[in-house]
Amino acid sequence: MAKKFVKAFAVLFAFSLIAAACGGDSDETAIENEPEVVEEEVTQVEEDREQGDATGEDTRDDMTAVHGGRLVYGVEADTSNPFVPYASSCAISCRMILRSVSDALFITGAGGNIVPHLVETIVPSADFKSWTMAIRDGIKFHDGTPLDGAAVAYNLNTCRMSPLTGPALSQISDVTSDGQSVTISYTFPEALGPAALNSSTQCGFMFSPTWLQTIASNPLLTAEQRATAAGNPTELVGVGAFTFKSYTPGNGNSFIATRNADYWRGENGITGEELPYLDEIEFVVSVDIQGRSNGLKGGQFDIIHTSNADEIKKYEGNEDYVLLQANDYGETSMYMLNAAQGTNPYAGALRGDPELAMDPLGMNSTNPMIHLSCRKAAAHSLDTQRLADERGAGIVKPANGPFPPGSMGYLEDTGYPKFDIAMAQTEMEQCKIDSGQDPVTVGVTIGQDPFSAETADLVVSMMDDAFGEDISVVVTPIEQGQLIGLALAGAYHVMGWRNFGGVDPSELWYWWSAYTASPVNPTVPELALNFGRFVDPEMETAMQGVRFNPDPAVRKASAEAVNRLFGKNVWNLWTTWTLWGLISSPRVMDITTFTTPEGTMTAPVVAGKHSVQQIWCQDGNCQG
Amino acid sequence: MIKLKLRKRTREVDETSRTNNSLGLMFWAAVSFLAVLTFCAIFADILPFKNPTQTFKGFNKNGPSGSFLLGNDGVGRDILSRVVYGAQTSLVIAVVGTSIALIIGGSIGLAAGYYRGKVDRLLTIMLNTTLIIPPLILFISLILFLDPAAERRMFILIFTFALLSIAPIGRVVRANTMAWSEREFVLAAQTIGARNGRVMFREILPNVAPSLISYSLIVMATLIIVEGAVAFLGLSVPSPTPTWGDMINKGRPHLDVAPHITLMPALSMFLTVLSLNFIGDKLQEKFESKAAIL
Amino acid sequence: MAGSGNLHLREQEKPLLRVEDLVVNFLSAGGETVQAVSGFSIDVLEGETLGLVGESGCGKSTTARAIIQSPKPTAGSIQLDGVELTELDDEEMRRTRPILQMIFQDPISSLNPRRTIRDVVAEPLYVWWEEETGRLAIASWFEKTGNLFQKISSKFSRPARILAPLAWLSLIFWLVSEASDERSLETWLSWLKTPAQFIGFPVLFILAAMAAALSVVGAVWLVLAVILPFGVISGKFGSVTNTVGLTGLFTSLFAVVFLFFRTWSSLGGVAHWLSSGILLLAVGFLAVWSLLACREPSRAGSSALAVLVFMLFAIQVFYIVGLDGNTKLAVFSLSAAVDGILYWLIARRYKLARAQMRQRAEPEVKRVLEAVGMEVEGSLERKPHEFSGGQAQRISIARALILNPKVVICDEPVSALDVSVQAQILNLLEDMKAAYGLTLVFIAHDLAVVKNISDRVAVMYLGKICEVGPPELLYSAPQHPYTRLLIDAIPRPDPEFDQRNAVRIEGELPSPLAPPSGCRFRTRCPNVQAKCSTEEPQMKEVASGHYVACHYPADSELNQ
Repeated sequence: MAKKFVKAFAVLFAFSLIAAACGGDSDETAIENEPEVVEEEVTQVEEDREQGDATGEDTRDDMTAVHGGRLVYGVEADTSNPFVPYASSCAISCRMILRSVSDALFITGAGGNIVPHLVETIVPSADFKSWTMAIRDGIKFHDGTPLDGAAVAYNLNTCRMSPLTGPALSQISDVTSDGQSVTISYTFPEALGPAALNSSTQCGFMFSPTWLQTIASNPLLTAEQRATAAGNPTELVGVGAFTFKSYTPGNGNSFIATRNADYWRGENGITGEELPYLDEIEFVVSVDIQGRSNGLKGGQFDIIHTSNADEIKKYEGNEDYVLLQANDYGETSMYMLNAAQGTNPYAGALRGDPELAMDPLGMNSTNPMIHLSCRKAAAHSLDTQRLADERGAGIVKPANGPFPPGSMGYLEDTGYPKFDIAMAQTEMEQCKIDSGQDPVTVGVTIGQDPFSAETADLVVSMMDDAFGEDISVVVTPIEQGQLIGLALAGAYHVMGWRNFGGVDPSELWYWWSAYTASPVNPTVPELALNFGRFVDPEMETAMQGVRFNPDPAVRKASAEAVNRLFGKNVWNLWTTWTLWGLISSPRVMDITTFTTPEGTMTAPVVAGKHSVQQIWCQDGNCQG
Repeated sequence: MIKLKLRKRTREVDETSRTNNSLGLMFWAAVSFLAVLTFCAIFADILPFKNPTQTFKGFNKNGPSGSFLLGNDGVGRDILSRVVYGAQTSLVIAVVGTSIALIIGGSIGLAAGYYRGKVDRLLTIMLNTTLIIPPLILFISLILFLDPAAERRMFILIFTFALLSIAPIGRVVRANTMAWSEREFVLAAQTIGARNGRVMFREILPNVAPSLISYSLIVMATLIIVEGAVAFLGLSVPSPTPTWGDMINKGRPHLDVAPHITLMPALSMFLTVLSLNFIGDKLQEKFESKAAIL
Repeated sequence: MAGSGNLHLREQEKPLLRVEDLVVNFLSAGGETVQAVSGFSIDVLEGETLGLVGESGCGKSTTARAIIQSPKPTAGSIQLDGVELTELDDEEMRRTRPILQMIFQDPISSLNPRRTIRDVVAEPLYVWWEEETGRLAIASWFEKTGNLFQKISSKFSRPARILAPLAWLSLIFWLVSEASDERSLETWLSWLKTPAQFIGFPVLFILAAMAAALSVVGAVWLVLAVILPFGVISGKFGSVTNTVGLTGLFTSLFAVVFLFFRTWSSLGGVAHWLSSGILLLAVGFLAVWSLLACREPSRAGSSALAVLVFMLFAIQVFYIVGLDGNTKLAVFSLSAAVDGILYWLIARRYKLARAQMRQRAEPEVKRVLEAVGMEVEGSLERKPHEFSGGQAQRISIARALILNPKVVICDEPVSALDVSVQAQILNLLEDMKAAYGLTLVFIAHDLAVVKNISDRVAVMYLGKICEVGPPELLYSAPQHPYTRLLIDAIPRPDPEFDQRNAVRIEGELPSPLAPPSGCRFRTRCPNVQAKCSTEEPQMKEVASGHYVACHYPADSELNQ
C-alpha cells in the first residue's frame, strides 16, 4: 500500500523535497541549477537534519519505549473553545489537543511531503478535478462507531457549511462516499487535492458524526435537530490515541485525555502497534511564558512549548532539560496592513456584485497603508535584523516574506524593501502626497501581552527615528480575542500578527486570495480570511499556479512569484520567522519522532505542533 | 559653674520643645523626595534627561551604567528618563483626579454636613451610589464604549478615578463638617448675618481642611497604585507614553535576566506612595494633637 | 402649674421684643415629636433686662434660638421692633440679624479656633462692609484704577437689567441659527481655540450684540413669549428686576442644555470634551452674572472679574491641551507667567484691601475689646485657645457688641465659668447695657444669677411660663410652687440656715415627648390637686406686674 501511495504522490513528493532542501542556508544555487535531481536532494535533507538544523527532531539515543505515565503539557493559550473543527479558531494549543484525541486524514512527512494517515490510498482523476480516497478499514471512533467514507464526508461537509471554515474549502464542489471510499470533486484542478486535509488543517481531523449530530452549532443540523441537540462541543469524540476525560476552560485550567486502549494503532487496533505509550495526557493552559517556564522548573509541567526566543535561549546548553528548536513550516511574525480600498470583482463575483466596494463606509480611507508608498516607507524604516537580534535573542532570523527557509517559494531576495532610512524618507515624501496627510497618522493595534507591546514600542521608535515629525503612530493594545475580531472585520490600520505557518503554500491561499477579502464592516464581520484585504490580479494568477498546476516546477515558480509579489507590493511588514521551542524534562522521550504505520518518518515539528501518540516517559513515569 | 548649668538647661528645653513641634527627619525626607520627583517631572523637557521613547540600539536590557544611570529597558530605552516621564503621568493622574474629587466631594460633603436634613439624605444617596459601582468594571466599560482606541485614555482615567474618589472624600468631609457645625461659633457666625456660603467656607472649611488635606494625600497615593494596576493590565495611557505600571508590565518578561527594568519603576512607585502616606499620616497626627489642645 | 395665657403681655406699651404663643416642636431621632416650647409668650421693653430661668431641658435655650430664627419656630409670632420675624424670608432675616445678637454658654466653642481675635471680633464688620461696598477688596481696586469693568457695571447697572437677558437671547438665537449645521459650530469652536482667543471673547460679545440688533424681531418675540409668562409666575418676587434676572437665567439654562447636546453629539477628543465642558461652565457663570447684574448691581463688578479670570484660565487650559510638543511648553510657560502675574496682582490687591479693611476695623475692634475690659495690646493676633474662659466670653461679648445691636440674648453666658469670673461677666453685661442702651434677654438655670441684673424675671418649666414678675416681688413673694422651690435651692450665706432642710424638687423633669396633662408641673408639685391634671392653669395677675400660671398660687385662698 505504501508503494501505491508513493506512486500516486510522486509529483508532490518531488517538489516537497526541493522545498525542504531550501531549509539549508547554503545550497540555493545548486537547487536552482538542478531542480530535477530529486534523489540527491533527499540525501541533502537528511544531511541537514544530521547537522542539527532547527527541525525540532528528537535525536536522543533510542531506548525501548515503555508504557505508562501521565504527561502534563503546558500550553500557551485557551483559544479554541469549542474544539469542533468547523467552529474553532484553532491555534497551536487547540491543535495539540486535536492531535491527542483524533487523527488527521493526512500528515506531513519528514521532507515536507504529505503522507496518508487515516487514508490508505489516494487516486486523482486525469484532470486532477476529482480525487478518490480509500479510508483504512476497521478504525473506530471513541464511541464505537466506525470511520467510514460517510463519516469522513460528514466531517468535511460540516466544515464546508460552516461560515468560519467554509471559505477555506470553497474550492470543493462535492463530497461523495461509498463504503470506505470518499470522492472529493473540485471546481478547478487541484494539485494537492485532499492532502490539504492534513494535520496542519483543523478540518483534516475526524470526529464521530453521531457525536457531531448532538452539537447545536453543527451547520448540517435542521432547526428541529438543533433545538434538541444537547452535546458538549468540548467533549471531543475522535479516533485518536487519547479519549476525552475532562475540560475546564480558561487560564490555569486543563484538558485531560486518557489512553484509548482501542486506538487503531494500539494493541487492539488494526496495525497491532503499541500506541500510545502514555496513560494520560493533560494540557494545562498557562498564558504567560514565565508561568510556563516556572511550571516546568517546578515540576508542574513535563513539557512546554514557546515561541519566545529569549526563553528558548535560556535553555540552550542546559543539561537538565531537553530543548528542541524548530522553525520548519513555521509562522511569520509581521505587521498586517489593512489595504481595503476600491472594488473587489473576485469576491463580488461570488456575491453577484462585481462592483463590491471593499470599504463601503470609508472606514479605512484615512489609513495611509492603502498607499504603496506608505507601505514601502514603513518597510524601509524597519531594521528587521535589529528586531531579530533584540526581540529574538539573536536566534531567530529576520523575515523577508511569508515563506521561511525550507518552504516552497522561499527566496533569499524577494524584493521586499530593505532597511534603508534614506529610501524610507524618500518614500515618506511620496506617502505624504498620496495620503494627503502631514503628519501621516497611523494606528497600530497589538495584543496586550507585554512582549508584543514592547516590540511595538521598538517598531514605533524605529519609525520615529526614520520619519520624525512626519509620522504619528498611535499604538492600541487590545485583548487577544478582540484582536482577531478586529482583523476579521477589517477595523484596523496596522496589526501585530503571526500567521502563514503551513507545509504547502497552496494551504495558505485563502489568507491571500481576493475571494476571501470581504469589505470592511465592523458591525457585521464577514469573516474575511484575507485580513489585509488586498485585491491583486497578479496574486490570483500566481496562486492559481500554486494550487491548480500539477507540475512541481510551475508550482515552485508560482510560489516564488507569490513571494515576490509580497515583496513588491508590501502587503505586510515582515519582522521575523517564528522559532518554536519544545522544552521538556529529560524523562520525556520521542517527543517528535512519529512514523506512519508504513514506517514513513513524519515532520518532527510543524509550526510548533507535533504528534503525541509516540511520546513515552522513562520507567513509565514522566515526573521522575 | 551655675551659669554653665543654666545655659545647658535652656538648650535642653529648646531641644525638647523643638522635637515636640517638629515633624521628624523622615517627614522631611519624604517631602524632599516628592519635591525632587515633582521638579524633575515638571521640568523633564528642560532638564538633561534622554528622550524617554528613544531606543538605543545595542543597549537593550543593559544594567545601570555611566550613561544610563538606571540602565536600559527591553528595547534599549533609558529607564531613568522613563521613570521621570512616568512620574508626569502618575502625578498628573493622581493630582488632577484627587483635585476634582476634592472639589466635588468636598462641596458635596460640606453641603450635606452643613445643611443636613433632606439635602444631606439626597447627597448621601448620591455619594453611596458611586460606591456601589465596581471600579474596574466601570473603568473597562467606559473604555469599551468611549475609548476603545485609547485616544482619550488619560481623560477616562482621571474621570473614573475622580468619580471613585468623590464618595470617600465626601464622607470624610461630611462627618467632619457635622462635628464642626455643632460648635457654637457656627451659630455665632449665622447670628452676625453671614451668608451660608461664608459660614461654610470661612468658618467650617478651615477647620475641616487639615484632615481633608492629609486624607487627600492618601487618596493620591491610592490613585498612583490604581493607575499602576490599570497600566499593568495594559489599559492605561497608551504607549509610548511612559507610565510606571506599563514599565513594570513590560519588564516582566525580562525579570530573570534584567530585573532592574521592573525594579526601578516599582521602586519609584513604592517610594512615592510611601512618601505620600507618610506625609499624610504625619500631618494628620500633628493636626489631631493640635485639635486635642482645643 | 406652668400654664398658658397672654395676660402678662403689656399691650399698652410698645415692647421692643414681643413673643407670642411660641411653639417649637421637633422630631426626635425615633421620629416622635418633642414639644420643646409650647405656647410661650413674653415681651421685653426697650432697655429692659428679662431674666429667663428654668431647669436644664425646660426649653430656655430653644426659646432663645427660636427668637433668632435658628431654626425657625413651629408656630407663634416674634416681633422685633414691630417687625414680624417669622414672616421674613431668609435674606430679610439675615439683614435684620445685626440688631439681634446672642452670647453663648461655651465661650471657647463659640470662637473659631482657626481665626485670630482681631478677625473674630471684626468678622461682623467684614460681613456687612463687604456687603455694603460689594466685595470691597476687589471693588476698591476698580475704583482706584478707574477700571473699565467697574465703570461698565456701575453705568450699565440699569441698562444691564434689560440688555443682559437681551444679549443672551440674541446670542442663543445666533447660535441656534448659525450652529444648526455641525460645521459652523466646529468653526466657532476652532475659532475659540485660535490665539485670537485673548481678544476673542470681547469680539464674541460684540458679535452677540450685533446679532441682537439683527435678530431684534426674534428677540422681541422671545421676550414676549418668555418674559411675559415669567413675569406672571414671578409675581411672587414682586419686582421687575427679578423677572428680568430670572429670564436671563432661564435663557442661559436653555443655552447650557443646547450647547451640551450639540457638543456631546458632534465632537470627540479630549480638547473638545474640555472645551465643551468649559463652555458650559462659562455660560453658567455668565448666567449667574447676568442674574447678579440685575439683582445687585453692586456685586456685578467683582462677579464680572471672577468670570473674566475664570474664562481666561479655562480658555488657556483647552487651548494648551490642543497644542503639542514645544509649542505646548512655550504657551504653557507664557500663560503660566501671565496668570501668575495676574493672580499675584489680584491677590495683592485683595490682601491690600483685606489689610485696609482690617485697618478700618481696628479702632472699632479696639473700642469694643477695651469696653469689655480686654487687654488689647498683644491679644489681637492671638487665637481663641490662648485665652481663659472668662476672657473668651469677653471676646464673645465684644463680637456681639461691635454691630451695635438693640437686643442681646445671653444664653447662660456664665454657667460655664468660674464663680469668681461669673460676677465679672455679669457686671460687664450690666455696664454694657448701660453704656450701649441694650435690651437683654438673660437666660440662666440659676435664679441667683439673674436676680440683680434683671428688670423682670420669667420662670419657665417644660416649655411654658410659670411665673413672671419684677425680681423684687418674685424673690420676696414667689407665687408659683416651682419658683419657690427654685428660690429655696439658692445657697444662702447664712450660717443659721441649713440648706439641707430646704424644700427640694422631687423627681426628674418629665419627658417633653409626652408632657403631663393639665398643669405640666403637677407631677412634681408639692401642692398638687385633682384639678391640676385636668385643667391647664391660665396666667393671672397676683400683684402689679406679677403674673402666675397656677390654680393654687402661694397667696391664694387655698394656701392660706
